[in-house]
Amino acid sequence: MVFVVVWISLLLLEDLYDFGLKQNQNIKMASVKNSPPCTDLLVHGPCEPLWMISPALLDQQTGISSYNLALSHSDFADNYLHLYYYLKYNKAPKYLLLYVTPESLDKHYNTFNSYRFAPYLSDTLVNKVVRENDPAYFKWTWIPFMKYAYYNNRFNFDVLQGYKHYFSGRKSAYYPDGFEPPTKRAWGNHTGEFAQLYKENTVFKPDSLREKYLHKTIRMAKEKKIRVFLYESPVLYEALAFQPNRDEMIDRIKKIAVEEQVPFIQFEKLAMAKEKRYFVSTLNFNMEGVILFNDTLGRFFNSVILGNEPLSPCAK
Amino acid sequence: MAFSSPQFLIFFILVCGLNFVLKNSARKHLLLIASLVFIGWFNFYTLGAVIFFSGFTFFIAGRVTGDKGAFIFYSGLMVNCLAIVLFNYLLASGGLVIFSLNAVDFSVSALFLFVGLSFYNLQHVAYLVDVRKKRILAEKNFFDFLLISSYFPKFISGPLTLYQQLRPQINGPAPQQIILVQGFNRMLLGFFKKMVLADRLAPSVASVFDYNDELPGITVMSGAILFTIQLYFDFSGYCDMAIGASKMLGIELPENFDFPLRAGSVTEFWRKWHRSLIHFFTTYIFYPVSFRYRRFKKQAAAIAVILTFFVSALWHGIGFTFMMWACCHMVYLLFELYFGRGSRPGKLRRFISVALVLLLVSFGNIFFRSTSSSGSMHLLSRLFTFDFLPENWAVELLAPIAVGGHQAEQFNLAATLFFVFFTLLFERKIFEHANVSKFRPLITFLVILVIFVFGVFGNAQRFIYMQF
Repeated sequence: MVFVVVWISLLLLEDLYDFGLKQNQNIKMASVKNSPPCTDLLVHGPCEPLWMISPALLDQQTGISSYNLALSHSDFADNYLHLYYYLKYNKAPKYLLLYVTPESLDKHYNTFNSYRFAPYLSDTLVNKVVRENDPAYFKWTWIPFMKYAYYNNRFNFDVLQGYKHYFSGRKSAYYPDGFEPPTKRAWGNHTGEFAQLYKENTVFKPDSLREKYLHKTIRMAKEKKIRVFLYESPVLYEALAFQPNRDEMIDRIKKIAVEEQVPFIQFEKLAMAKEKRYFVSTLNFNMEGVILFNDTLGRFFNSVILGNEPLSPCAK
Repeated sequence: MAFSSPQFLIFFILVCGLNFVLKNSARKHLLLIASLVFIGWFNFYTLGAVIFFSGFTFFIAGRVTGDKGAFIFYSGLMVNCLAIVLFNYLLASGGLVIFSLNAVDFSVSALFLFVGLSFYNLQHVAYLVDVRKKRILAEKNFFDFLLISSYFPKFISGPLTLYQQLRPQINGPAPQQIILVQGFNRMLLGFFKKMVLADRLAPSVASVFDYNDELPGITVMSGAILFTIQLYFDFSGYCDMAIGASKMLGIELPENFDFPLRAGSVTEFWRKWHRSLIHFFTTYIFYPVSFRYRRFKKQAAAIAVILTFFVSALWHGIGFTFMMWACCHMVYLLFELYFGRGSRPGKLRRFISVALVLLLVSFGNIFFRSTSSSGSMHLLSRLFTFDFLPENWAVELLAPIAVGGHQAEQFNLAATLFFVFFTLLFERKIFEHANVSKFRPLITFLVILVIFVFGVFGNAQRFIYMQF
């Protein structure tokens, strides 16, 4: 009897969590559906674009409307599903700026965050991608509520916040353009961090699943007639010495770009890459660096990409 | 196959079901096969070691009595003790990262080469001593001995069970339905302690102990207190699962904890903490030593304390950190032995004593938890600096303990601390009500729900005492 009550309670609880999470405007999967941002340029990738590309700064320079869809610690499968969900509920943007770096192709850096897709497992594509990328999680999702229990530290607060948003009628995210300002961090032992991040005698190992979803992400965008740009933001110059096969990996990315017929733009040679004062970690800027980088990016867009193209209806 | 793994649940449901329907003689065989499968699931090295040491101890136990048996007896003791030391040496020299944050893959990890052997060989030592002292008769049936030695609910981390505690029970009848329910609830309580309390505290503890950060003293001390609480819930949770599982199979295992974090003195703490191991040490080391030197009165007890904790440190592991941990407790106990007062304190004094004991035990646990001697020294140095209190509490205390400074992480920490303090305060009452029929279904329902909503599933930690 107790077990029947428990089973039913878990089913009900699962529905409550589904609903709560879909109302949380601070979760991008939910916010892009509930309040679609009108966008010309979509910025996508892991924490580097999330914390380093500010649509507000970029739009000032370019006059277009951009949105930052990036999510911290995300790999390409994660990016793929977010792009899929964005396109499902929104008009396709004109441009997609997708972050790619040697770390992106190595499974030791960033990951597929299954928990972000838990409320959306009823979608066939989401279900398929989650099953492929996190089978250890997926195999238990048939048990009621287990799709939340498995990573429950990620949900309880978000569910409560979702209900708060629902009852208060909130329709926009805390960061409405998707950009999260970088953390204020006093960075002392940076060479120690390189040594930790890029362990001695280890080299980047390209992962076929990562590459597969990079291809799929590009192709999905191209099917919607979106112009895709792969880019790499500046890497602190000192860290390059700790990455033995970096050039090999860059060549790999270039090869993928050629295969998919999309440009790969490298900003690693910018002068700011040699200035530690702009960084909070190997790959991330502080706010001072963000302002400088967005200025460069904006000028780049103006001169190289936008040219004389007419502004889209989203333009401010 | 850890107790909190899904594989174990399937395995246990099968064994429990068969045990319930089989006749008495067949049950014994079932339990032996189940125990060997359970051990073999970890790896075949452990299974081989178990069969070898059981065969060896069984063989020599019949020959250790009388004057002629002394040599065989001491040889048997030596082999079993050396196995423990060798096991600890292998762990120490293997560079084992004991408190790794990574999820555990039990089936392939070479670090589990000899899982549970410290507990296992200690039981053989006790068995040989008891046979030699003629407290018990040597076992005649090897398979019964093998079952008693390898009985799976207590195999990995105890409770340390003596031969004479299990022998009369292995031929007993199948448990009644009410016993099954009580056993299940006890297991559930263990899951709650492990998954909702211990595993949720683990990241907070790791962020203080594992990164050599320049944390202020109060953060280090908070981490040490949280580790003491984590260790208690982790180990007592394991024991609840073991005792509950065994109860469901019709065999009672001894209790291992008696609410030790409510102890008003370190002496009382050791009467309540890991009781089966302490029972072993007091029976086989402390009492014989203090009896032998009884003419020295308090000094005899002091020698016995020092020797007991020296052996205890060696049993836990070879290294500076465990020895320092043992030294801390030697100092505490000797202080209480010479300066402690026997009068019963009032409520306020009792409260202060409990808090003081928690602080002292937690201080010792800095050594117990540190993965290296340099790590423990670094933490100590942070404890005894002028910047004991942080300038920015949110960044220097809250962020490390909450494993991040975001609202969600602070919410998780608050939820964890709520459950921790609730359980510490009402653990005895929960225990009692879990066995009262009126409240039992409600408690079962609530505990299952809380485990699902707040338990750690995807990033489960292995049991801390599995390393010993």
